[in-house]
Amino acid sequence: MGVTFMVYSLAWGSALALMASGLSLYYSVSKVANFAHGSYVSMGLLAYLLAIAFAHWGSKITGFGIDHYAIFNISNLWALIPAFLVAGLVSLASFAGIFWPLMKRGATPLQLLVASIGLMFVLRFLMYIVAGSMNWITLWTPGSTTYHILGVRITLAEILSFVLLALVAGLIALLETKTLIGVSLRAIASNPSLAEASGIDSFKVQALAWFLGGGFAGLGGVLMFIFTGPPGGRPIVELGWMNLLSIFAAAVLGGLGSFYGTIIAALILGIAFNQAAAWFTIYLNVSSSLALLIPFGITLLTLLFFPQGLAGINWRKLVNKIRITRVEEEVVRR
Amino acid sequence: MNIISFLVTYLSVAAVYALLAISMNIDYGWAGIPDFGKAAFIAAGGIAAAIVATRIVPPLMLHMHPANPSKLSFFTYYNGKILPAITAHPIDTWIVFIISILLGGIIAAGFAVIFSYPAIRLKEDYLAIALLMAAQIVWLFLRVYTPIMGGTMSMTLPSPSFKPIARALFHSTSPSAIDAAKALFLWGLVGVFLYYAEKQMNSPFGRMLRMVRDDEYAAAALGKNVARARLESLIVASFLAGVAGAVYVLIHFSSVNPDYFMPDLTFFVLTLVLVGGVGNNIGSIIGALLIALLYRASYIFGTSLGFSWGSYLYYMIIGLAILITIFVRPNGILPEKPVRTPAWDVYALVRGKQPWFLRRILMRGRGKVNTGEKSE
Amino acid sequence: MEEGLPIRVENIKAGYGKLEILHGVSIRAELGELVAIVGPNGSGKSTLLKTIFGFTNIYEGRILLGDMDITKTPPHKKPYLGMAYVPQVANVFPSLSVEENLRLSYIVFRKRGDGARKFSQVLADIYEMFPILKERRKQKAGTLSGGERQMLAIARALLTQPRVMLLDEPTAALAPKIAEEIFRIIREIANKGITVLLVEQNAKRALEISDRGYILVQGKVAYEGHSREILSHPELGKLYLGLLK
Repeated sequence: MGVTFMVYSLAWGSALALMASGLSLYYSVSKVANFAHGSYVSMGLLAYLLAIAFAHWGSKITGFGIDHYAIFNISNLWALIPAFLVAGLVSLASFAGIFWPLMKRGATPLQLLVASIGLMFVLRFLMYIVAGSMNWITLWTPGSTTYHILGVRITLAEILSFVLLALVAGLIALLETKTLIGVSLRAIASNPSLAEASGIDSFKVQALAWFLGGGFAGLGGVLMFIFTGPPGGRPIVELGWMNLLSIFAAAVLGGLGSFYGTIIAALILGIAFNQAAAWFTIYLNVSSSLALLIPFGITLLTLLFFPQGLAGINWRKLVNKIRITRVEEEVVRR
Repeated sequence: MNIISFLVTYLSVAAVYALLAISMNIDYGWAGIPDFGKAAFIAAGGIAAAIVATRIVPPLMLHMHPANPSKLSFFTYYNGKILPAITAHPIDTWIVFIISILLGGIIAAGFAVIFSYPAIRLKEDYLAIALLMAAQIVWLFLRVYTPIMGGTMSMTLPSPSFKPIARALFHSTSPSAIDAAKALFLWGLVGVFLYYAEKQMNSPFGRMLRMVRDDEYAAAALGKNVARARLESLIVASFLAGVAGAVYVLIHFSSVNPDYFMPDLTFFVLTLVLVGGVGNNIGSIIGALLIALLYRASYIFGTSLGFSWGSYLYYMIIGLAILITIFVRPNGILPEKPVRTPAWDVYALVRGKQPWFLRRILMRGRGKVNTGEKSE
Repeated sequence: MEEGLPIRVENIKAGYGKLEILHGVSIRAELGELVAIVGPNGSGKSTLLKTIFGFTNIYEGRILLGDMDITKTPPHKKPYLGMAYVPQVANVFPSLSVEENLRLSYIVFRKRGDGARKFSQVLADIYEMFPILKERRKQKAGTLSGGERQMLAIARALLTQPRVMLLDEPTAALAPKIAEEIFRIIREIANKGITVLLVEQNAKRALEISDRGYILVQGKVAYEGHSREILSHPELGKLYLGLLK
């Protein structure tokens, strides 16, 4: 398990981080545990494939033919833009059309969650129509251009997932500290009713968060598909659903609604899952799908001790506690 | 397909859904626990049925060696020897069924005790996701760990034989007569579930659950043990889920495969409860009847369309059913009713708010109450 | 700074859900007037302010700001009309720094005021008025003490250049010395010409600094008049306000 595999694990984690941080971003303001988030992931992938199909209209783009054109290389990078936009707009539409009206009526968190399940089913069906009419229900991963840098094999998709994650993290950092709408975003997350009394247009701010969140999910979806292909040989539409629990695991481990906590959690889970998968197949000779036990186990255990996830841990206090116990031990020893 | 056979199969499917829905209604509807691990509790019934058919019944009843699903020779031995031996006697299949129900319930209740640890401590959203992850882990484990039920290979199970019942009732053993007997039995079981759930719901225990759901702090301030109430509701609901799971596996599929217990199943059951009426058992049954109809009709219609996406039409129907319910009737078709205490019964009786045919039944066993309507 | 606006509440009936709390309350505050609303616990003082700002259900009556009927205006539009509301608790954004808390007022200021340069001037004035906030401007608002938090909340409201200010028990749970400072600031605000509606527990001090006062009892106005008149009334203090002569 060399550097190459470590890079792959981290890149996988970054793709997960993109998807999960999107969820976190709008959860922080709207408090919707959105199960349709997986649909935005698949939407991004479909938009990417459709964009490439349109660019090569007339060639054999239906069925497995698309795999030949959709390979992830420099000249196809532009197709990430429609992936971002489509996923973002669908997310925005679902907020404006479903969640905002429900929130205005005073729906409980549980009702919002259940509504998101309904939305997930509807979106899934719509995607099946698109994927079905292009004959794309099952596809293989189209793969990505590979480079060798300093003796390390690295694919363009891997490089791009790091770059995109860094860009997204930077963008959000700038947005949340330097712009008024970003500060408003944090203000709503911190005290929604006061934000309303302060004249902040809650709808506009939340809509921005949903657009960005959905867009990030779409980007992560394309990258995840390039890395792993259809999960477990299932239809490509199920990509989002199959990754949804990992997304939630990362978001919950990071402390629901904490953007940076989620990114760190996703990277941790990415390494844990991929290393465990390799270990499971090589040493235990069991299916790598069981490796999901490890990230889920980590998340569940963390939740049991820190019900608010990583963001809820008071690190300074924890470190102090450890230090104090150590000092106490020394005192006792003397 | 003729209408009677459609109706009969539809009714038995709906009955199985109704069983699942009632168990979901207890922890989601009354106790407010977003039990997204329901699929795992239902799986307990499947696990139990597999264990009973392979390990318990052969040595106990048939004096045969138990079958081990992890061995290569399992399928030849199980399908060739044990399964025919069990199905040869209708009584044996019913014994398998009864032991499975009990074992399934007990295993599920055991799971509930384990799961309750987070259920008492976590907030709603966190809990929903934690339970979902737990269900996913159970599902993956069943798929990969073959000694439990042979992994992803479908294992045929001896479903209880309805032939004798059909013969006794309809003097016929045609497929639709057997299906009719099955539907009758299943609806009888629904009746038992309903009776039990209603009784629990209108007991002090049921009232305490609602109180905990509506205001945890007020309940605690009145000396109710919130953690214990949640644990108990989870155990009761999971026991029923385990029983329903055994029915789901033995009667609905008559085979077992881990993919029957994919975490999606939870959402399906949730839809039944939600559309029918959260916190209302009758509502849950209506939801099951309605969604089963929509599901089957949209599946048949979708596949007849001739498009490659036609078979996914039911996603749309179920999704829209959820969304429309949330918008139009956020509390479902039949919303939750006030708790029926003896005092409420008397009040309703005096005010004439009870339908006449229920009055006598309701007053039975409540002792003599002067309702002022003696002339009736 | 703009002049204050008169505000009139006419026979309002309001509450939460179906629970009516205010049973027909009429009050008015003239231009630049400091009006104190006092009364026993649970009399609906805070609900009255929430109702004026639009956080409750209004069943009857109307609210007029100047000549405009604002009965049905949603809360997030009110700041743009020149109203500012300082709730009793949770009146700052705890996870934002003090400066960010203040900068958020620019959202409203921009629509009502003159732009970024004027805003930094006003911000400088505010820092002069509350030197402690300048000292703590990089600190998270959640780490401030009770008095500092109350000052930050008032400062946030002032930065929007309001014409009417609604203050809900600004001195609750504060040490007497700090409460005194807050009262001084409130009087100063009213002196600048802003109409202030002040709800207070500490009836004696509130009436001492205010121009007029209302005594609210069980969702109704039990007495209205000049503050000095209420303070010197032989019975009122003992009856409703727990003031012993």
